[in-house]
Parts: sequence; structure tokens; C-alpha cells
Amino acid sequence: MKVELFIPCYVDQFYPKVAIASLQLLQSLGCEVDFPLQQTCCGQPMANSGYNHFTESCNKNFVDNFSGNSFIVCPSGSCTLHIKEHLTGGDESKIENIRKHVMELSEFITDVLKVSNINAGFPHRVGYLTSCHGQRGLHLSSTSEINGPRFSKPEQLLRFVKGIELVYPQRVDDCCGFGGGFCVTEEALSVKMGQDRLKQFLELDVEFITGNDMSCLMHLEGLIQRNKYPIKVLHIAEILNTSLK
Amino acid sequence: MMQQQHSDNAAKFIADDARTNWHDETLWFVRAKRDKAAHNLPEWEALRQAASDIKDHTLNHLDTYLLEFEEKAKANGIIVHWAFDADEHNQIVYDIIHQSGITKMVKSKSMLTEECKLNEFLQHNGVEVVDTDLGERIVQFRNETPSHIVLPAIHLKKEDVSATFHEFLHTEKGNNDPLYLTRAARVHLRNHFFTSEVALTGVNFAVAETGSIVVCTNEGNADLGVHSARIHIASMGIEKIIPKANHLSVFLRLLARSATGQPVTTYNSHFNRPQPGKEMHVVIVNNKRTQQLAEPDFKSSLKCIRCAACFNTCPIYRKSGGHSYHTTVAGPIGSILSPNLDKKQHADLPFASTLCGSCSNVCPVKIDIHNQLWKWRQLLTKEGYAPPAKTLAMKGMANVLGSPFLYNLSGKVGRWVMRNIPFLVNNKNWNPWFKQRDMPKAPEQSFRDWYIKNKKS
Amino acid sequence: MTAKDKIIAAIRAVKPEADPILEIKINGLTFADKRKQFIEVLNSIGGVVSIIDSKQALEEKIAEFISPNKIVINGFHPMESEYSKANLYEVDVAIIRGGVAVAENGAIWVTEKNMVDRMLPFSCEQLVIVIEEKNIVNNLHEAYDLINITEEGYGVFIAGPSKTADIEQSLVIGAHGPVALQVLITKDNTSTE
Repeated sequence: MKVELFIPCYVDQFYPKVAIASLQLLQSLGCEVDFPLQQTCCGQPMANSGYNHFTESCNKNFVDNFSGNSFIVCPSGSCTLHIKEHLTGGDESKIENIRKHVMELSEFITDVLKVSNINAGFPHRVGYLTSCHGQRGLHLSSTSEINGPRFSKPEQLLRFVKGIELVYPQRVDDCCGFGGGFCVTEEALSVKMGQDRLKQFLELDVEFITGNDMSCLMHLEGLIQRNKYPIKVLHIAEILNTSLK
Repeated sequence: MMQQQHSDNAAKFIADDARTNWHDETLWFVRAKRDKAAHNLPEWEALRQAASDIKDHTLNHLDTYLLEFEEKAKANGIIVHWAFDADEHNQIVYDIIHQSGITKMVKSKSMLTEECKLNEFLQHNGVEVVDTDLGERIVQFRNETPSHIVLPAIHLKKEDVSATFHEFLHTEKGNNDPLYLTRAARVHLRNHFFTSEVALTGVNFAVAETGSIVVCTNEGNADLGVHSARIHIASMGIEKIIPKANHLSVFLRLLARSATGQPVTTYNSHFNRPQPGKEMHVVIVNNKRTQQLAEPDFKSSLKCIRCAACFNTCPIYRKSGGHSYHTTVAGPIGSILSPNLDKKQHADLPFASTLCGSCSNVCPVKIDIHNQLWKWRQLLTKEGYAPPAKTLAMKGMANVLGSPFLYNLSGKVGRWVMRNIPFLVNNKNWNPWFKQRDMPKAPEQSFRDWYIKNKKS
Repeated sequence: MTAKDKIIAAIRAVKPEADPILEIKINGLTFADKRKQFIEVLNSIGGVVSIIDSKQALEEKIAEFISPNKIVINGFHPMESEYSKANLYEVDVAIIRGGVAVAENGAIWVTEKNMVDRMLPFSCEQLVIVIEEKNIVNNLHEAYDLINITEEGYGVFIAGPSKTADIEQSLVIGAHGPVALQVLITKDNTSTE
């Protein structure tokens, strides 16, 4: 299956290993992956700060780079959601096509590839960080608020990983505090929320924290490094891409 | 600068870490109680949908239902007044009291009257106002505003209440026992109930079909006040109307469960007709609600039944407190209602959020609060309420991020600077990220660089 | 233009196309043993419940509340009690009749004619409500289907004794209303005339 890889700007610049892992994972699951070279940013940083009207060039560039005819897979819930909800401008039918095809990495693997196994091994105790936009926006997993059946697409995939011990913090889906521009405009709150989240993971004695959004993990990692907490972050793609030894 | 207001207040609140943790845990506990109640009703989501549908429908026929309510209420002997804004509301209430030569009023909880600043107006004009909800009486003594629309004194510890009651009610100094303090308030307020000729209540629901108003309390203060008094004044926003009496079953099953996790409040009082020999007034208030109604993006915020479930779940509310929002109704719902009342004053509020969406999920009437927060951000920015420096920075960012050439160049340069001249970026003074967090490592290659080098095809 | 005119005009200016009146149908929670559920919930919210088997048992139970040093108003024989507003605040025990009772939340519908005075259920120290077992319904939807809320000038669903948690979320039973609620559930063969 042909797919187009959509890499968040901050992953491209600061966490290329997450993009590499995503690429290799998709290839190992039988996909022919293309990475449109002129892609830049989905526009979310401006849009969420109130400047959606400044995202014309980002939108145009996105539409120019992605065909809309294959699945557009992205290792980020929030970037995927932004494109789904806010991409606009130009050829409306192409945009509709793009909206239909853009998917976050986990949901693509569970819902489209429908894998029954992933050949991965990661014998470690790992805490799962639920990222809000993927969860509440893309419905990657059920939420603690809604009265309904429990499900989780990321967990479904992590369960294939041999040796992994997956645990959840007490407040399963309480926001980590990154929030885009919020992380600097409400710095005190952002840090407090991140610290509180980390406290819950530290209590669980996990070696790693994983999740579907590198932005949340980047924010927690910043706190981890500053405070020298004995814990590391890894994007879910990196764990799923650790081949079984 | 307007947009810093909430963030400044929040930073001050958070500076007391222990107290912030206490506040956060207390509110989370209330959220957890809601969860338990909601998950025990298999039909919970269907109820939310029904409530949402009823309110959506009502907002589309607001004139019809308000007029029907007025007609039925009047036929039942209720005197109905209309107030276009807060000032008119306050004047109407004052006139009713003043005409009867009364100088004291007891009041049960009404966020609408907080919004209209009724207490100050009446007090300024010689009418003593005694708030009778325990939480409201506490903050009234302390000359504070309620920090939560259901739990007005949630920001206070029992030591704070004890000190306040010692000062105003002469309770034992240092006696923090909630039972002791509540009993003291009981005695104190019974005197006021007994001696007040006018009582004001809010309205939880106004039923168009019957011309009735419904008031929900746990303490019994609304009823004690009203039944002791000769005159009952009920203040309601235009959005409190519901079409039929049996719709109450939907809302009453949702309200207390959403607010505190109780199956229902202790008292759900249906006022249909004044007691013989007594007067009952209803004041129907607009105060810019029609303005919100005219906005397709924000109209559904008027469905709110003031349960505060959104407050209890919001990590920003829990960790910064209601007073950080500097508005009558705080929390997520307040952040989409308040800008309608005053854009300049409240332009910062829609930004006091990570858009996590938890609020929308707990809202019993399914208001898409987090989407409206996003939309208010766009509107307020376009209408010029953003700091010019921010607009400049965003324009620059948009130019760079929208151009593959500029994006790749600045990425390369930025990472180079981070690796080779780190102090330019690692600076607590002008890089807010760096105050309490380390920057991510800056790799030599971006993914794109790696891909071009390693492309297999 | 009056305020009313202005408000109605503003609403009509943005009124969309009419949508049909909605039909709301909820399958409310039901219980195999409604009485058991009612008692469980009422206990959990601070109420005390007694099951009354016979008319005699009812009279005996009511008599338990009456003593010379207590001011008691017995709603079943209201003419026996002289009262004024002042007395109502000094009532130790009020015994009144309740109508429909709701299993899901422990609430009882009380209407004005059974209150003696609207204030009595709120101003007494202890409230006693007598209900009939056959009037216990599953949920509020069933309750509202049965009652006519405007049958009298005032009606209230009472669920338990008054309470507050306004002081640091500590639950205190007995705020401004009664500090205690006792519910007497009479069975079908008990006449409560």
C-alpha cells in the first residue's frame, strides 16, 4: 500500500528519530512510503494562537505536497486533527480527499492495515501518556469522561510488543500542559501541569513514558532533563519499531 | 496587557505549591464523584443528548417559549418583569423592595445577580443583602467573590472559614470543625430568614408550559427565605427557559450528578403561584444574551445549566483557581461566555486553556466548549485584542513555516545556534520555555536531511 | 420600546427556520426492587427509613415522635396544631404526607396541601414524611409522568435531610433545612386516612 508520510515540523527538526522510526515501521508493515520533500508545517502553532487567518501559505503548501489519493500518515494526533478540522483554501474536492485520508500513525495501523502482529520487543516498564487531541479529537482511545466501552488503538499495538509492561497513571487522561503556545504564554501553569503528570509517572516507577504526540513528550522531557528525573521519553513509533531480538 | 492577566494570576496562585495541590485534589475529587454517578447510569449519554436537543430547540424558539412562560406565569398571579441589561435588572429589584419600604433582603445563590453586581447596587442604595447559601455567606463576610459557581468557597480551607466566623459570628477561635461552623451559620441565618420580608432566588429552570420556576438547593436556604418572606423575587436569564414540565426529568437527572455526583439535590422546588397574601415576581434578564444568540459559533454556550462540571475537570481551573479568571463565571464555560459581556476585559480567557477537550466531554448539555474557545481566539485576534508584538511574531512565523526554503533554512540555522551558541537560546530572561525546562537537543540533521541522504528508491 | 419588546425583537432577528417539536424518550434506569433501591439511596444521603406494616403501627410510630417537651406538628391532623410563623421556626418535628417517591435518587414529591404551611418542611428540626410503597417509581421520568406540577401553588422533591459541603468539601448533614429526615413507608394494606 502506498502512503504519504506527514512529519510534524518539530519532529522533523528536533526528533528525526521519531520520523525515521515511523517510516521504517510503516515499511516493515508492507507500505511503500513517500515523504513529500517540500512539506513544512500544518499551521497549528499559528491557528491555535488565534492566527488561523495567517495559515494560508501553510495550507497551500500542504495541499501542494500531498496528493490526497493515498493515506497521509502522521506520527502526531494534534497535527492530524488540525489538518482534518482546519485545512482550507483552494481546490475543495482535493481538500476533502486529504481530510478523508489523513490519519494518525496508530489508527492507520489498526484501522487500515489491520495488523494482527508487530514483530517488536521492548522488555521495559513503560507508562502511557494520553495526548488530548488524538484521544478526544481523533478518538484514538476511549475517555474517562464518557460513559462507553473502553478501547485504545495505541494500546492495541503496544500489546504486540514482547516483554513490555504497560501501565497508566492514576488520572488516565489529564492534560500534560503542553497546549501549543500555552506552554509559553501560561508558562507557570504549563510547567505545573507537566510536573504533576510526571509525578504520577514517577510514582509508577516506569523507565519510559510513551505516547502518540512528540509535542507532549518534548514538554515532559524538558522537565525531566531540568530536574534530572530518572525517566526517559520515547514516541510510540520508536517502541513499535524496536525489532525483536 | 490584557492577555497576560489570567497567566499572571495563575502564576501567583501556583507559587503556593502546597495550596495549589490541595485545590487541585479537591476539585478532582468532585470530578471523580461525577464520573461515578455518570458511569452508574447506562443511559447517561442518551440523557446528555436529550438535554442538548431540548436546549438547542429552545434556543431556536426562545421568543415563543418566553412569551408562553410570561402568559402562564401571569395567569398564576406572578408579576413578570423584563430587563434588557444589568442596570435595568438592578433597578427593577430595587424598586420592588423600596416600594414596600423594606431595607433588608435575603438571597439564595444566583450567578446572574453576581453578573449584574446586584449586591453592590442594593447596598449602595440602602438595602442590606444577606447571602444565605453557606459558601456565599462566607465569601460575603470576606468581601470576596465566589470562586466557583456551585461551591463558592472551594478556595478556602476550614481554617479560613473558622477565622472569618470568629470575626463575624463570634465562634470559638481556632475551632475548625465544619459541623460546629455550619451550626453557627444555621443559627445566624435563621435570624435573617425570620426577619426578612423579601427573598431573592435564582432560577435553575423556568417551565414555559406551566409558567413555573424551579430552584435546586441542598441547604434549603432558598425555600426558607422565600416562605418566610412576603415578597419573592426570582431573577432569571432568558436562556433558563425549557418547554415542558416533563423535560425537568432530563435536566434534574443530569444536574446534580454533573455538579457534585449526587443523584439529585436535596430540594427541587417548583414555584407555581405565590402563597395567598404574598407577592411573587420573576425578572427575565437579557444582559447581552441575545448578542450571544446571534453568533452561530457561540450561541450554544447559552445551553449551560451552570453545573460547573467543566470547572471540576479543567486542569487550568483546578490549578489556578476561579479568581484567576477575573470574571463572574470562571472556568471553561466562563471563558466562552465572558468575552461576550466584555471583549477587552476578557480577551485573555479563551487562551487560558490547552484545548484538551475534557470540558466538552463532561458538559451535560454537550456544549462544544473547547471548539468555541478556539473560535473566540480567532475572533478576538481578528478584532484587534491581541498584543501587537504577538501579531508580528506570528506573521513572521507564518511566513517562515509556509515557505519550504525559509522553513528548512531557519531550521538549519536555529539548530546550529542551539548547538554552537546555546546561551542565545538557553536564557531564562527572554525564552519562557527555558525558565523551568531544558530545550530539546538540536540534531545535526533534520529528518528531511536524513531522508534525502538515505532515500531508498 | 419596552425591555420586553427589545428582547423579543432581538431574539426574532436571529431566529432560524422552525424545527419540529422534539420527542424525548429516555429508557430510564429501572430496578427489580424499587423499594430496596429507594431505601439504599435514601440511607446513603442521610435519610432514615422505617417500613410500616399496619395502620396501628403507623399510629404508634407517629406517637413516638410526640412528647410534651417537643413542638410537633402532625400533618395528618393539622387542625390540632395552632401555629404562626414564629412557631414554625421552633417546630421540633413535622410529620407530613408525601406522594410519588423516586427509587433512583431517594426523592419524594411533596405538595403544598400536605405541608400545613410551605415553610414547615424546611423550618422544622426533624422532618418525617409518610409515603405509600405503591407510590415508589423507578426514576424521575416516571415521576413526572405521574404528577402535575401545577396542581397546587407549590411542590418540592425532597431527597434527604438538608446538607452542605461548602466548608472544605466536608459533608455536614443539616444546613438550613431539617437536620434529619425520616421516611415511613406504609404498605398497601395500611390506610393513611
